Amino acid sequence: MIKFKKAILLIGSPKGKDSSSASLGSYLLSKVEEYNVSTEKVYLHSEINTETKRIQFLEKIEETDIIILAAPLYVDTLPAKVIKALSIIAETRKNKNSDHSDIEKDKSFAVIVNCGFPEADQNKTAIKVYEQFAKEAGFKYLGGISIGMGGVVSSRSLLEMGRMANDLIKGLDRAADDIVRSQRLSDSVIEKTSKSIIFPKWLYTLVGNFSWRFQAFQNRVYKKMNDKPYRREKFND
Amino acid sequence: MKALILNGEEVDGLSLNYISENIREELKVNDFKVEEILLKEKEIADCLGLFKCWIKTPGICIIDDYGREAAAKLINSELVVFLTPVKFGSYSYQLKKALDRMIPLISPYFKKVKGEIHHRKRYSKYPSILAVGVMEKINQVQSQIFKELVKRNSINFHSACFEAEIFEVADDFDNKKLKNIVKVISEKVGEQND
Repeated sequence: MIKFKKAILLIGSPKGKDSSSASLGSYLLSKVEEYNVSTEKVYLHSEINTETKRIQFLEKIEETDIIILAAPLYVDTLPAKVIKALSIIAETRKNKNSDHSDIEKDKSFAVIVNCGFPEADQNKTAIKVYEQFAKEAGFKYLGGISIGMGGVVSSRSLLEMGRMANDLIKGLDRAADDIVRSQRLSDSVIEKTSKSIIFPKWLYTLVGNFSWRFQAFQNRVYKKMNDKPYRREKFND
Repeated sequence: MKALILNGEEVDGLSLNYISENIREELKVNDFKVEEILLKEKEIADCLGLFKCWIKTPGICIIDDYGREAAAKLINSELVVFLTPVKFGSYSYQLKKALDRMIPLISPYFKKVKGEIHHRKRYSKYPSILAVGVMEKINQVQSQIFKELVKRNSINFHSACFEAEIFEVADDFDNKKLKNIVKVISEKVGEQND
């Protein structure tokens, strides 16, 4: 009944295994695996550094049926290395189909974007960028999951997060079903995964600000937190 | 006034030199002292995403390469120009690797801006942004995404003004349109600095 054979998770955070992207992506991948789909994880920051690795990486993409990318939001869009990896994929696929006529949409692409801001909506520009990538690479675009308060997840397993991850888990469970069926992500997936992990929002920012202060204190730089090391006279006081 | 051009031309990619020359020329006409960084020639590592520039060495990236100098130049400019090939509606790898390293210029602390949470300023003033995207053939959807992205960047980088436009690389390149947008942002920056 299920036609897919293989799914690959591309993790786009430079923090690798210790990232929110890895936690979120790995949970979704584990759910996809329950549909008898074989799975593999690739850490983008270490997989495209040499020509040999790039070739292997592209071979993995060509051999897979489902591509899931989990990445953080950096400066309102994709992290630099993710842009590089996706450019390589899109270029390679375009060159293979140089007549531009019929890149077969035999592969599906879905993305999870998480940001440290409380509003999941701040990922929306990045999600649009990913959709354009899917189009250029000739992948069937299944949709983008947008998650705010990514710092709460950090490298924790979602199953260890207790009640605060309930909606997220329900949304990702449903997303796995949609992805395996090669269907566009349901509205309920988008709705549940974009809900605030911590409510109210001010509590997240309060804890967040405290956390920065605490880490600076531990590093003995608390008093330097507002330093302006590049300040020059006249322009920037 | 100082203007910094971050030229995000890709290695083995389309040359943006002609466009950059025109931007430089027009900026000088508008009383800017111009500096350009051809990013692909500089050693700038990818951001590690560890936030050490906030909680370990506040305001300075822990990676000691040209990324630090680029950040210092940017924060002391009145205008920054993002010159980039458009990739899926976003920036090139070369430009983005530099922008990812600008995070030390803002504060980790959160602040509400027009109903949304953003990071506070670290410095009192930030450069305005002119973003010039280049495509072989204009794609309206990606043009719109590009402009939306620049607007988002202007919020997070506390820029007083921004302008963004996409240009098609062609034999009859629209030099007039390019010069006009440089003039528009120059005038806005000039008003800010009066």
